[in-house]
Amino acid sequence: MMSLEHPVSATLTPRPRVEGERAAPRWNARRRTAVWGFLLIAPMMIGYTLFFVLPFIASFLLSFTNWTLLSAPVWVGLDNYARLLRDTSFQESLQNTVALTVPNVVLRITISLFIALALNTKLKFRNFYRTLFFIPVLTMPVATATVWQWLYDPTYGPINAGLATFGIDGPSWLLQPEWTVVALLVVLLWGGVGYDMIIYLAGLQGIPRDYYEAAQLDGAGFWRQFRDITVPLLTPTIFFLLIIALINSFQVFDLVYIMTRIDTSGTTFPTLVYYIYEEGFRNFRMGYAVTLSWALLAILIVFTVVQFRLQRRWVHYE
Amino acid sequence: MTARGPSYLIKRLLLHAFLLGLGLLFILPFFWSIGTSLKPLRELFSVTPAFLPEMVRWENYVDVFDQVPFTTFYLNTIFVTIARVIGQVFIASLAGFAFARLRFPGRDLLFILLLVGLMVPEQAVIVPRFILMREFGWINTYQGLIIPLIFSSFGVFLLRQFFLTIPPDFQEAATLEGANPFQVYWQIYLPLARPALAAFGFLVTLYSWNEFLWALIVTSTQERQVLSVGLAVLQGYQTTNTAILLAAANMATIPILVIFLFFQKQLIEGISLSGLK
Amino acid sequence: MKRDLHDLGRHVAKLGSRGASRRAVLRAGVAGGATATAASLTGSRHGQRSARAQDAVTISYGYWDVTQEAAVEAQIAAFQEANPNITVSAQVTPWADYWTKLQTGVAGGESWDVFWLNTANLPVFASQDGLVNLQPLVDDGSIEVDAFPASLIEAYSYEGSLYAASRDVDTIGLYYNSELFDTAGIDYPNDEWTWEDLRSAAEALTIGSGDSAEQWGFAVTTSFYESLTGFILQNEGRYWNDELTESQLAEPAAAEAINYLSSFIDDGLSPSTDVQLTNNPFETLFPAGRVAMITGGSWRPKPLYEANPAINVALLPIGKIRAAPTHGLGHAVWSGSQHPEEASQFVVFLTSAEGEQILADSGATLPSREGMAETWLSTVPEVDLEVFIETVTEYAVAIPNGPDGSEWSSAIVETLTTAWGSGGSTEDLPQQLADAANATL
Repeated sequence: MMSLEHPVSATLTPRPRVEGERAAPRWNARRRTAVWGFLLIAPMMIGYTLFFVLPFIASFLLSFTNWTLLSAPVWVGLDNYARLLRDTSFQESLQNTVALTVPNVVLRITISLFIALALNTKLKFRNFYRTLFFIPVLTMPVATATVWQWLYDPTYGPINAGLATFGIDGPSWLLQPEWTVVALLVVLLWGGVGYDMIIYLAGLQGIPRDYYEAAQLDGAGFWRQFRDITVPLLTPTIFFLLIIALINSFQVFDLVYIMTRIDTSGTTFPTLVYYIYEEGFRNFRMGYAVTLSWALLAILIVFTVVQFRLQRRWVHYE
Repeated sequence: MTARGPSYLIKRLLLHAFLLGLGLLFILPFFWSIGTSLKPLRELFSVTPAFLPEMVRWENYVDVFDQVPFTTFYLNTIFVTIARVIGQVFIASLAGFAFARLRFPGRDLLFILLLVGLMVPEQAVIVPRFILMREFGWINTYQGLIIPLIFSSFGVFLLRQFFLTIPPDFQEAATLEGANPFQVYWQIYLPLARPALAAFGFLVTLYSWNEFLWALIVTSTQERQVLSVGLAVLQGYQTTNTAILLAAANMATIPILVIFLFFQKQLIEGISLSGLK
Repeated sequence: MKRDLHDLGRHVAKLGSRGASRRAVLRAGVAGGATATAASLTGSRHGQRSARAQDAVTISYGYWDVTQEAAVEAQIAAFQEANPNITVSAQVTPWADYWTKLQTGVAGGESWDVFWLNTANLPVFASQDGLVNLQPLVDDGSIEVDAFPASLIEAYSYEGSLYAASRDVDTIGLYYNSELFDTAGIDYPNDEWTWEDLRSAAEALTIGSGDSAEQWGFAVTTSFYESLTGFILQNEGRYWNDELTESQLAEPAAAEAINYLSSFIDDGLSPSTDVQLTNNPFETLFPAGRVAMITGGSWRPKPLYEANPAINVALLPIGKIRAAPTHGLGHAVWSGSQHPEEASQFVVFLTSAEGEQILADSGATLPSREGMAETWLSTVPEVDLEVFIETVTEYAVAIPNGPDGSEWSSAIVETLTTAWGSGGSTEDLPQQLADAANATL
């Protein structure tokens, strides 16, 4: 069992008795807290069970069936899982997804941290800069895809035109898988950095200013403050962004679907969720699509568990 | 503060140059989207598209309203978004607080169960969820659009992380004074977490505003349709007037941009926790 | 109770007068009987409610082409006028999301009562009991199949029964930009053109070469229907063997057609798929006068002509034989519909002379019912639309059969896209295509 321990034992530590406080047995206080805990999570858990857990369970059962969506599912036992193991399309889509996810997560989290740090100072025009970085996040996906398709146009687009002025013959960004991954990565970063920046900024606001003042009195420079105060106190935020970025990036679909699709069918760069969509809704194999989703879930759970395990080493809670 | 020498000025200038350069890169595609949305049809057929239209055609924006009931989409999106945001902020902050600061059996297990919700691709659960909607009779209703999307694992996770950064001393003091956990949440944690709540509220607004797949599946008449689905319809099938599409997309973005500009200070600066020590 | 029976009688009479099937009448009778029984058991209130429900019925109608919205709404208005008790609620969902929505709805038990279907999806929908069998409506004359091209009736039949009523028909032709021909001093494409003529004209019309060309003679697109299929059919090639177990694309007949198309790319006479991905040939390159010729569907003349009045169309150049693929959309009734009688009534109307005439008047597309051609021809008189009528009536054949679903054709398009782009190679392309298609089995 993984542990989410953190120093939150306030209610359990012995403390001096205050006048008027009843001397209740400790287990009673504990139980009262537990009841409150359940009460406060109840609305979330009820809705979650209804709209997420039940569909999960249904989809788990469906992974043992052949389901065209047009008629009742047919039980096929472990066939879908057997197919999964020897499915080269699945492996290809997984490779594509990983190739996109790893650089995306790392770059996103680092770039946005530095932008947020720069914009958390008393800099002139900082609100203006924040808006610049955040506008891509606000843009509707349809507009994002349309605009970037034009930017990436191999013959007439400004990116390759710019490369040509340096004598570089630009590639066909959205057709050659080795370049598609770069092209998609840039769009993901473009649309994601502003998002992380906001979360970082909100996290930075939560760091008490007197910590910095104290450090300055001790003569600590920018880098020491960054290393000893900012980063440690920001680790819960970094941890959060790491998990979310990984999960989101593994599920990338819209962008691939809109940007790399030729005519009405197919892409040269299928990602995992794209493959799931195609199997479930275009190839009449929802049973297998659900199986693929469970494979994706298993991968993500492993990653998340590892991260939670590792967090004890580096995430610092108050 | 100490004296600011010339090296300080140079550093600042470099920082500005860097931020401005990078920022312009970020906003360039947006400008192109505005430029193209004002082009007449003839200019769209040009193979080497110019950045700005030679002839500005504002009517593209009016044409959007002729092609789809854009006002209806707008009002639906606003209503649905407000409802989802209020629900999400309240429900997720309650649960986030409990997961951060209260001990109860199975807490960590339940929390992980919530996180799993983020990892399942929507495509895999959408059909069972749709069947549930039919059982409830919620297809093509506002409750069908709103309620399934107000339970946000993401929000619980985000707010839990923020509540964990609030020093537990406050809670201890309040508990000593006889406050129950809900009062602690309501009177201490909620006000202290205002920057996080604002950030979360805004992100939820954004997510809800652009949400597409569920709205597509659960609505079946234009009276209930939202902007994202309306845009997809505009994108059409065989021939698309890119200018009108982008005009619609820009109009769809404006309210959220205004909210951001208006909300930004609140969103990020909020209250500084240090002031409350 | 009395009122209930009265309503039932009226309902049946109405169905009869509209020529609905005996089976529909029968089914209404059974349903009515059940209602009557239920009413007698539970009291009249329940019965009355059912009766009112029968009075006003709303059926839903799903389709994907937003450019045909006006035509669809006009058809609905006419139908509702003739059937005041039925309201049709239409919903347009773009192609990219249409199947996701349709299949979720069908699986979830709440979907469109009537919806558009294409021939590629008919076998799987029909074999999985997703559709109402329309054969009874054919047998009693409500749907006049004789008025429609036999190839489309066949394409929408499954195991001897009709499952979707033909709506429109399309085929492909060779579009050309007359202005570019005039400038180059070449004769326009004509009925006698062969593959060699197309090739030599493309050479003469290309200015520059490859992706940096200023003008391309002929754009080879990766479209399964608008590009590849016509050439394969003309060379008497096939996609699959009779058992649908092995691709025939590497066999000489199909391979020759594929290599012929590749030669335009290899020799720089056509823009590669790199260029086409961001510059849709039909939306940009061709109307802008950067491409002189392109093969394309019969639903395109209106937007193309409006974009560039120099555009006209000719028959596909002849290969070993004269052939072109044909296709058309159909109206299907969902098997889970709560109102199959009303839905069938609507489909009968849509395929009637009146319903198809409204479609013809709109100029949106060529209705498949006979006698509609004249109206359609007059919608863009400047373009030689006769070409399409001639193709449909004389040379067109249904798209060749393949395994269920669109997976194999998607695989072909994906392979073509890579091979005809700068990262790919056309060497041994027929074999590559055959392998890709076989891999989907």
